[in-house]
Amino acid sequence: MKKIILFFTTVVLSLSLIYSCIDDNYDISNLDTTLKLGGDLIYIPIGETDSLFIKDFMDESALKIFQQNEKGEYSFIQKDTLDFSDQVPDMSKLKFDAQVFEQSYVSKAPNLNTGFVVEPINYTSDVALSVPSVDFSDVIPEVSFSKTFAINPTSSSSTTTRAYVQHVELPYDGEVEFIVPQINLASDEISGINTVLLKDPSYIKVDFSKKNMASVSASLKNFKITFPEEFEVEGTDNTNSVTVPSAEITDEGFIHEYKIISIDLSNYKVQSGVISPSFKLSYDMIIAADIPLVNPANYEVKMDISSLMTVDDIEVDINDITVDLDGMINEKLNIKLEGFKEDYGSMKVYPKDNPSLDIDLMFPNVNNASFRTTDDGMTVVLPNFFKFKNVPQNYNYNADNSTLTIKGEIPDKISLDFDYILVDPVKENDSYYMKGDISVSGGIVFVGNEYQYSEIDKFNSQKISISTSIPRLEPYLIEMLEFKYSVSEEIDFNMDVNQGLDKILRVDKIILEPTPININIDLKDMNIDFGDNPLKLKMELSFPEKIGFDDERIINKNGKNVFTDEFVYKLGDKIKIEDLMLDNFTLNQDIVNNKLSIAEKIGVNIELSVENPQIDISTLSDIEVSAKITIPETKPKIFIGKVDLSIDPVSQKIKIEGLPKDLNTEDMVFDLANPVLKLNIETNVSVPIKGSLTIIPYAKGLPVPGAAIENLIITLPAAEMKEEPTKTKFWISNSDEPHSGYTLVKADLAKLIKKFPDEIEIKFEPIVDINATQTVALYDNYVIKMDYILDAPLEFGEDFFIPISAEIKNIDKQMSDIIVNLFNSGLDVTLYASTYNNSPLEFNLGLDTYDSEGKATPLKATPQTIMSCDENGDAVKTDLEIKLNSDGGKITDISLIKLNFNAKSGGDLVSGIGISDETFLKLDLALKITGGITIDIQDYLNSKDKK
Amino acid sequence: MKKIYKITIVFLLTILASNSYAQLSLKTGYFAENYTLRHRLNPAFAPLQGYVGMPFLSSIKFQLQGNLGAGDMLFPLADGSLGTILHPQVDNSAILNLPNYSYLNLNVDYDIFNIGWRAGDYGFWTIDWTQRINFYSSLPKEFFEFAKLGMVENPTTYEINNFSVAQNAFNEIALGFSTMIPEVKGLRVGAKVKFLLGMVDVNAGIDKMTIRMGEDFWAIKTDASGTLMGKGIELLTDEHGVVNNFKFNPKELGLAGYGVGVDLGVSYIISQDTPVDGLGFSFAVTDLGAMFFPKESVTALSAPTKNIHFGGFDNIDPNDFNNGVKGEIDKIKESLLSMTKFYIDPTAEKMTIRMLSTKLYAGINYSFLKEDRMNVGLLYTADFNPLLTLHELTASFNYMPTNWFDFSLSYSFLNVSESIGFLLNFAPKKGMNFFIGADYVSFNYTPQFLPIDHTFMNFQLGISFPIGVPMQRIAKK
Repeated sequence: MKKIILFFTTVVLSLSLIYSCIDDNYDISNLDTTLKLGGDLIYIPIGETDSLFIKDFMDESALKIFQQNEKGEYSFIQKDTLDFSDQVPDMSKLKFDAQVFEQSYVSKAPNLNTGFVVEPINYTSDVALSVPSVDFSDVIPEVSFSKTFAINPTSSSSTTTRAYVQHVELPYDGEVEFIVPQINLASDEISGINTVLLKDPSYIKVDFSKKNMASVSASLKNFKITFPEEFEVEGTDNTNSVTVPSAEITDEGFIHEYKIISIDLSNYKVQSGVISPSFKLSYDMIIAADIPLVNPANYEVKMDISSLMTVDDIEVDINDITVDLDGMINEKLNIKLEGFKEDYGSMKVYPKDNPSLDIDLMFPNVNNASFRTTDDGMTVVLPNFFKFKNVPQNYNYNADNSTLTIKGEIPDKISLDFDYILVDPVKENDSYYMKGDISVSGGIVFVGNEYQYSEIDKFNSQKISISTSIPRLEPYLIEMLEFKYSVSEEIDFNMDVNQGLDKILRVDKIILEPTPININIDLKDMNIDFGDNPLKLKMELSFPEKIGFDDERIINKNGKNVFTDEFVYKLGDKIKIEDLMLDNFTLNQDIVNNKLSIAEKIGVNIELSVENPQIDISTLSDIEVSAKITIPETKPKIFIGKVDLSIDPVSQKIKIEGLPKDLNTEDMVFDLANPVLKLNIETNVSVPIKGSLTIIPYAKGLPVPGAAIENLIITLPAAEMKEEPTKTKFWISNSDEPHSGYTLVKADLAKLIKKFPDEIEIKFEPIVDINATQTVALYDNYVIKMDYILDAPLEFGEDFFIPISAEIKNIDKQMSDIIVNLFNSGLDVTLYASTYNNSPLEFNLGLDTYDSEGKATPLKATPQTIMSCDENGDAVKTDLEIKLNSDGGKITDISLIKLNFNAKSGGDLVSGIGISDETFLKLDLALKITGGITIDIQDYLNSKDKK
Repeated sequence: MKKIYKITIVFLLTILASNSYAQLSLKTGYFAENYTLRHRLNPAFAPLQGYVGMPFLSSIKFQLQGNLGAGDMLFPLADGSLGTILHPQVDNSAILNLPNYSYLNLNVDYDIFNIGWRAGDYGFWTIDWTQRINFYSSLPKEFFEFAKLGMVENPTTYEINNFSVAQNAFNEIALGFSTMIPEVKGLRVGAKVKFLLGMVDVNAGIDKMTIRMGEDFWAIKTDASGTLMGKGIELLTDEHGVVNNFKFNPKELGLAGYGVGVDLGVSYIISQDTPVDGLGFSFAVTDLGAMFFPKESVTALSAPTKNIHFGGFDNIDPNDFNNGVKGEIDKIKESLLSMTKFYIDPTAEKMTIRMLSTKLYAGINYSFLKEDRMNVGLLYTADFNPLLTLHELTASFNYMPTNWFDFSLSYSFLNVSESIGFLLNFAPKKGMNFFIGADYVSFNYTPQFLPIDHTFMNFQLGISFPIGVPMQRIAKK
């Protein structure tokens, strides 16, 4: 029993102990199943949105308006083609009708019987020898000397003849200098002066006279005067002195003259063209006198020496003097062949009576003068048609060029005997001529020596004369080398155009479609027997320059377009010239009364020839020449001139439909930074066109005030070919930036679409300058097409503003419940968004919510701004913190979430950056729920059970 | 729900199949001389008298072992109600009290039959046939942190490792022998050989889960695997090879595996007339061995590494917001579910060796009082179970007021936190022996008898009948 009690006691105590440890605080039946998960703050990454494009906010029709341009940027693009082709006048009616010109002429047969006579011809020419001048006065020495000798008694030397008279003899001597001028020799031809020859009388006079000695006798004894050795004085001794043994000096005095014959200057060398001679004479004498001793006075004897010399001539040394004969005779010999009416070809005419051609040379009559040729000789060129015979070999005659060359001694006369005259006539003004030259060239030399100046002075009055004399030449024999028979006529070329000229004001030149013309020439009634010799025909057609050809056979010669052909001709053959390609008319003609006239003449020159003919000239008959020119209908291709090519203006209105409603609000300012109007104008009009372009935007049927672009001037170059129209591109924008291939035209296009138009009118008015000379290609289908693209990339200007809204509609009930429960529980929900925006737009973001009845709920979001891209177009991250709260208001449901994106320009920094496929607005969203998420498991289980 | 029912059925059947008493004994009775089953803790121990257990009732042991208590997860609220640790009013600091890994192990040991008898003067033989069922689970602390704290910084990373469950059931037939060593007075050694017959062994878990939360993304990475070893259970898959059901086939039941285990033990009591007369030492290692599961019994499950990165809904289309977002949510759900999708991996099926949960016991005790009827002891236990190793120190007080009754009180700590145990053992020389006891007795329970402080509780009871002549107690006096 004890054991049992102990057992149960132990068990009861144990159970009591256990039960006493039950803690009612942990009664699970009172478990509150509310759980809060996620701590105090839960970030729920909502995730990234799709890239939101501008296009996402537009419907399909709007995307037709905003298309991608070649840069891949979305752009407001309007493009179309304006076709002006129908407005251009038809210029293809201008043409020349087919024409045939046919004319006949009779060409007279040649009459050689009229003869061949060359009338005498004489050419004389002279040339003066250049003689140096010498001034004779320069070479005359003068002397003028006066001296008084005192006669005084002297004790020593006087003797007394009477007691009151003293006889004195007083010796005197001295020298007297001549006054001699320097002799200037102006010419190098004079190498020196040898002797000056004086005229008679030429003398030196000595005159003695007494003074105060009227009653006193005086005399000279041994009066000796010595002349300069260069002087030749009459009566001198070998010392060139003259002595007067004694002579009374009477009261009249004593005078003595010495005749001077010549003066020798040969010892005076020429220095620097100057001869400087000097002369002295000396005297020696005794003066005797009887001087009274009573009442003596001042007795004196005076001596005067003077000269009187006149140059008669001068003997001078002359160097060789060359006389240039070039041009002395240089004559064109133009011998008209009277009686020559036709070109009969070359012939030899032998003159009668053995005539000769004489060349006479006459020189001045100067003593001892001699002449020779220069080393190169003297050349006489004679007409080549003169052929001479028996020419002396020393004449050095070259028969090939009829040149005669003489060297060394010059004959006074050269006679050349005619052999024959080679007649190869040249036709000028319907006359025939023989033409040649006669000329003398080279030089002759007057051989230097000592000459009296008076002789060579004759060259000043006498000239060297050369005369060429051709006597009358009458043929006695004519020998033909070649028979030539020429026909020269003119054919009228007249064309009129009366149609297709109504738009043409003036034609300077017409370029034709390639037009072959044919010419047929027929020679009739030629009664000539040429035997077996071949008959050569040379034909020349001369067209005036106004008529142009595109034919290698025609060359321009002397202002004419000349066709030349040469061939062997057989009598009776037809001469045909085919397919001469007529190319153009140069007319320089104003169009009056819609009429264009061409009146020209075509020269036809036919030359028949045969070598060494054996013909009976008397049988030659007249020849009839028939010419026929056939021109088909000619179509002008291009004319150069003035044209009134009026083209009516064209305009087109473009309706702009499908515009998103967001772009059509009053608040919208569609300020695009870089709109451009690109024109690609294709025209084959061969006239430059200046066009005036006007663009007018319309809104509600009325022009948008101040938005029109007016009168942009663009110039289209002329096309050169119908098949190759010019394509001219114009880049019309407000930018100065050049674009390859485009002509830049500056215009502010942005204003066109700032208020989005619902219609745009494009007008183009072509203008052709009627005062300018144009080159007009004439064809019927002129084309002027203007492709235009108004490309306004979504690159935004600073005024750009578009309110855009995006709606999340019909939000699922489950989603709505989540949102409602979140906000109705009073949670502070912050939506964190990292936005990445590489668009140039800045978005002001707002959010409104609406319930299923369309009423706005109290759930709002704080407005935020999403920054635009950076200046490189790279996306810019903007962190947004959007606090969502209902301000205590209760939300029943959320059916519509409206996101408001007010798009505006990102400013100057992003100007030029456009919207493309790559442009996105991306939101990386995270939800911050402050306080975590609290749920009641029981409620959740209950709701699951209900379901 | 159908699946849950099936799992429950299997669980119960497994328990029913183990019609024996628990092999493990109460550590409180380690030093209790009359506790007939203490040889299971140390094979060197032997009861004083032979016994034969009452079939199916010789030992029933239930143990719930975890490092969480209701008090860790439930908190009284200001309004008198009770809230979970995730309740908004419960402070975040509550998480700090949680261990790094919360585990919950359930062991049911049920003896079908046992017997022990003396052999000669020193020896003692035992035979035990025990059905053992073990359930292990591990729940890391970071899982609760994730739920409670959420994102505390940007980003916040949670590494959740060893989120797993495991269960096995097998029969153990053990033959033990212990003997005193005459040559060494007070020394006794013993050993057991265990033959293990595996019924089922299944484990599955997320080896590693990394959760990374940021302001703009959530990322989850998982590595999961599992193994099923057993017969009579056929896993069913959908068209994608995902295991979505199983079929129970009783006809196929049989041994899934087999194994051998060894227990070794030694005890030594310092003999009389020594200064420390009555001081005893003991040391044992049990469950040294392994189970072998042939390839045909093994079904390997794999869940390929999954990475889920949720950075938000991709490409939200404002024009199709409803469908777009819902579609994305569906994708996330699908991704999360895919983490727990297991596929049969035939390439990984191979013979599997499952090591037994080896345990180590080291004890020291001192007997005193008249005839050594009272002793105190200190026992160190290390349990090397498949998921974690538990360490425990148990101090016990044992008193035998009479030869047919003794009781023990124990105090365990370390892994166990702090718990007391008791053992009441009635062991008359004749008649019926009965014992009941527990190693872990909580002092605070919820009204629903869930321990509040920690989830450590067990009890064991059993009935047996003494046989043979009891051995003389060796006592100091």
